[in-house]
Amino acid sequence: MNNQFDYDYVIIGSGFGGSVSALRLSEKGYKVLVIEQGKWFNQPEDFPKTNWNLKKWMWAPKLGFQGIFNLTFFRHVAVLSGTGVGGGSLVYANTLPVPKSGFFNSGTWKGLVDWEKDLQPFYAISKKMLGAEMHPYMSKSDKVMQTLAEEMGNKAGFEKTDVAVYFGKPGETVADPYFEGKGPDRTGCNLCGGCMLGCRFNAKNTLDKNYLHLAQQLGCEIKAETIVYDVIPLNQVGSEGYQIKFKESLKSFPKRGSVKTKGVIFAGGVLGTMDLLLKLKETSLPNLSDTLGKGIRTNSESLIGVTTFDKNTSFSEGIAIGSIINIDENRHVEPVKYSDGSGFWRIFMAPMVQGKSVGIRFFRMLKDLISHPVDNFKAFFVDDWSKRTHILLYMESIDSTLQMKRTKLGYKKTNIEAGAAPTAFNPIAQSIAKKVEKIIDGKAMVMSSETLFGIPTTAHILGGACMGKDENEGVIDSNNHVFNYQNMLVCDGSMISANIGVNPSLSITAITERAMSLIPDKK
Amino acid sequence: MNFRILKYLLVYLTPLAVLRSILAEGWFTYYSVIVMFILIPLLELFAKGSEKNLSKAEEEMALKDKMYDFLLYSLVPIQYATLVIFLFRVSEGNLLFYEKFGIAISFGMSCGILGINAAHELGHRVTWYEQLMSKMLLLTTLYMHFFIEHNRGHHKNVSTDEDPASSRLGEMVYLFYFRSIYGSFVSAWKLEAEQLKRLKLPFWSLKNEMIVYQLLQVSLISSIFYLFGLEATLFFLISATIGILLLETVNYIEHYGLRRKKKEKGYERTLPIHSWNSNHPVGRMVLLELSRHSDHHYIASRKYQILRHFDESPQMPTGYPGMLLLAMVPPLWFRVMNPRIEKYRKSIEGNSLA
Repeated sequence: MNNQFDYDYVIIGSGFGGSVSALRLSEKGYKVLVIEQGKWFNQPEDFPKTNWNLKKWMWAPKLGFQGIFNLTFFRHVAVLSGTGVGGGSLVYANTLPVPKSGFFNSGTWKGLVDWEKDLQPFYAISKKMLGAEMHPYMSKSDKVMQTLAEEMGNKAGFEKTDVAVYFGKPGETVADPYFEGKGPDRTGCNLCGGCMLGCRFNAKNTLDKNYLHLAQQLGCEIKAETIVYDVIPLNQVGSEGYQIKFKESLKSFPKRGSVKTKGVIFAGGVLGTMDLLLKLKETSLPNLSDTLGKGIRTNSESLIGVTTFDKNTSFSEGIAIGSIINIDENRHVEPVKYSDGSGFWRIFMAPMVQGKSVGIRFFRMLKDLISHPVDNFKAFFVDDWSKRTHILLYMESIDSTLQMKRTKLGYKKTNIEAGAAPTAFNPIAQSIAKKVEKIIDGKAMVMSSETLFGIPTTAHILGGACMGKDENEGVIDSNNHVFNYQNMLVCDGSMISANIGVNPSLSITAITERAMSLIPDKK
Repeated sequence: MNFRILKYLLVYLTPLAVLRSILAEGWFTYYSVIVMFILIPLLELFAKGSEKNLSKAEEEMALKDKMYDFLLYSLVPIQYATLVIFLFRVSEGNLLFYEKFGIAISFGMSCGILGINAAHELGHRVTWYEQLMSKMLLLTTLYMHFFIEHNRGHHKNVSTDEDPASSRLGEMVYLFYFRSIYGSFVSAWKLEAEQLKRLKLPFWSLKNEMIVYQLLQVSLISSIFYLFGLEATLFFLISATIGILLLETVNYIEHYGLRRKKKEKGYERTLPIHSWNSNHPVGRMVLLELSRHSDHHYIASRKYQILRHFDESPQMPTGYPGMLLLAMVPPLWFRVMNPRIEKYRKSIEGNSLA
């Protein structure tokens, strides 16, 4: 019976969910195929030197950009995400925090399982697998954060972050330090600050250096530059398997193909998975829960760049995010950086203002430009933007959700589902930025898309295929299995069913580890 | 909706290709050069181009349609944005010399095609704001005196030996550069001096546009030096030079070897036969019909969207980008062009005898 399938499991996407699934299923003896729309990034020269090199940095295949970083605009939010073998791990800022209890006891997954207790061992495994280590250095931006914490009267709130980086000795390559010789060589981080451009120095523990590397050794196949466009169940509930149709993602005249598989795991990240599932609900998978696309959350992030006027300060040295201030249970702020020379964002910077309508904000922006011409000028024309800019990433858990829908033209769009839409003008974030302006003698600037259109930017888009006790409450059950279909799972950011409030990668890894642990070995 | 304007969207090919080169690393920084001087010439070797002219009614429609103007105006902010991104890119470091050089050459394309060619179209317009935009574009290429020399000098003296920007039969492009760049600059000062004299204004004042231009250009260079440092300034100067050389090469090919007849007083009127014409499609769109040059010199006030083809004007063998390349190799240029001029002269004389 099994011989009629090409694979036991096809995994669509190779990010945190997909990579974990690939390894754990391979370990259990299943034959696994991972399909990833992005490219392989094995060599240092596969990554850009600075983010001015859009062709290597960004992912927009229609424009010929074949990099790792994806920027997608919706009505209510602009999403930063990753593409490539290793998914978001290629471009993320390495940060692996365990969320606070609130996350485990709210949202649609509340009460299905004692999540906090149940997930604890899986968080430990995930940290080990990703090589999480507390950032051992104190960079200039970490010092600024420490000063900021003191000024906020919250000295204890300052912490170093756990990050997925091999530190060792800077620049020194060692044989696999993590997996008893089964993993690849690692090189000590040289603190270039370029984590979010893709690590060119073999120090970032991206998924292709751990989960995927080990999975490949067990025979897991990875098909890059390929995008899945249809998943057809071979009977109504999929118990007889699925046909997966795919095509090349980068060619103008793509070759198509298909395979038969017993099981399928959706792991394309919220953007990838929502794109596919919302389409399939109208065609091949009509029995998906009606809650599909609901419960989309962000961390209500605010990204504010404070550019210093001091020509001797360099914020570039270090890792992308080396510390965090826990303002309270629900609010966090982290310093973010790019390597020197990576000033691409500067061309989109505008003064930080508040206001209800575009008109008011535009007027206030002009007012700011006119009343502080020298500061604005100095900040905009600073000699090396990434060196002189201390980027603040402020995150907040407020309960608001969006719903993603598919329009007639096949595009995704967002609607406000519950609560207030995420705002681009968080007053707390802005007051923090004002404090940092004083600390480093600088000027706070934000993305002009925020000032003008009020669209906040998020790197943590989550939800859309939330957990629930039945199909009326969620798309998947507490073990990540999709309601109404067999051997079909969702394991990526879209399964996150509550407000997480912090960087989500570790949680996606841990929840997937748990889901995989519940799948029996192959008979 | 007017579909004819859509083809002029090709004018954005230049800024897009230039931005792609600027936002790149490695040999990809030379992308725009490859597009302009390899891809387009190859394409135009096989494209013949249309000799079709608009009917009177269509011309009126095209003149009424403001979209053509907005398309042209949009090039001003685009050129300035490209300049700023270019300067950020070369000053922010992390690039090797050959990459910066590639970026500078690419921005040079932008200087030539937007900075001078679009400025040229705007410079022939009559409203103050269009003329201002023209000067703004010329500033980015450090060639503001073109505004005076081209309109008051070149158009008056075109295809005579008095015009420094009309190339002579048998003149190499490399020597023409010196004669034309130097001659045009001197001519612009002279024309401005004459104008001031006529208006009874002092030469040494801010009423002297040439003085204002030089001040503006020096301040642009100084601000770039102050904001972006010496290296960026040098690369900017390289770009401006490339823009200027592009323009001068275009000048070279436009009137090569063509001369108006001398009469007792002055010369005969400039006719379509005194400029080379090219109908090759890509060059026409990318350069806003500059290549329909015969009509432009016949009646300089005609907007780009209604320039005509004349059967009697001499026709270039290929489009502008290809002709520029050809001019770079003088022996080849003479071999292709001189016999054409010979043949062309005979046919005109034949006509006038009859």
